[in-house]
Amino acid sequence: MRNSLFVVGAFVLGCLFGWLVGGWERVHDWTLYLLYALMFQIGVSVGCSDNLGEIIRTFRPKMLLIPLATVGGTLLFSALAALCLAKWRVTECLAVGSGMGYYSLSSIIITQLKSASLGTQVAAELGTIALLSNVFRELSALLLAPWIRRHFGRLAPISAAGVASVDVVLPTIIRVSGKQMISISLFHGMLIDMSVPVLVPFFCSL
Amino acid sequence: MFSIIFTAIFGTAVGYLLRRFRGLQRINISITLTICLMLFFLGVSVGENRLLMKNFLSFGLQAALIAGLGLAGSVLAAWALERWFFRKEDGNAE
Repeated sequence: MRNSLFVVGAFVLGCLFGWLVGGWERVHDWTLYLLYALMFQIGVSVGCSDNLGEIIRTFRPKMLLIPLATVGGTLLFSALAALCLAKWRVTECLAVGSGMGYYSLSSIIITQLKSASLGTQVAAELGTIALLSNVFRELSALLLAPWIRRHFGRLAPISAAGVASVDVVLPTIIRVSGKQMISISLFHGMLIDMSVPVLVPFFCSL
Repeated sequence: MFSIIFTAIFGTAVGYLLRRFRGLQRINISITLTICLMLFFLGVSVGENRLLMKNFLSFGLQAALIAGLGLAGSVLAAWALERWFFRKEDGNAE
């Protein structure tokens, strides 16, 4: 819980800094460098783990059903949002939902592909909603992982994280669901990562 | 994407080779700090977008709805999957 508060606090602090100072052009470059640093450190923690061999041995092909469940469940429920949001159609809600936590790519794709049909301003609004929605998903997966694990089982925190199960949420998943979930979480994140550039443009085209 | 995975694999190799160094156990603190820094930079890119910040509440509520529903859908699907496809295999391993 304390870790999660630090994480949310860092995001809020960043928002304040961006609002008050702004104009930091290289922020995206630094985010990418940090992502590599994070993945290296996660690799080191796995490599020096006492039960690395067991992690490799526990992978089963049936575990590929998990990303399918993530995509199916996400899309089914994301479509329901259109019932509450008068401005957006089902396909637009599906485009946002199929970002699966990949906030940067999904928002860029939606803003660009929906410009022709919705106009530049409305497309930018939908892209912004996609950005915020997928950020919220990642933050929620981080914050709620212990609660989700307690009430919905070991696989649920992985599905909740979406694409972030491969990096940002992985340490939290390991903490709440156990180190035996590492291979599942990595494969899940990789497959979800590959699905985003396919699903988001698909729903944008409908 | 693959370069990110390869970075993790490289880190795994380094971690395995240096596994006897006890100081490596503190890597989890470093991981948490790195995540905090990444979220800080994400906050910066959100905060400096004036249009986004001006309509934050409206966009935010819509985004929260879609995120919440997507999260709920994936969690329920994973719960159902574990219950019907994985629980039998684990037996009493829980």
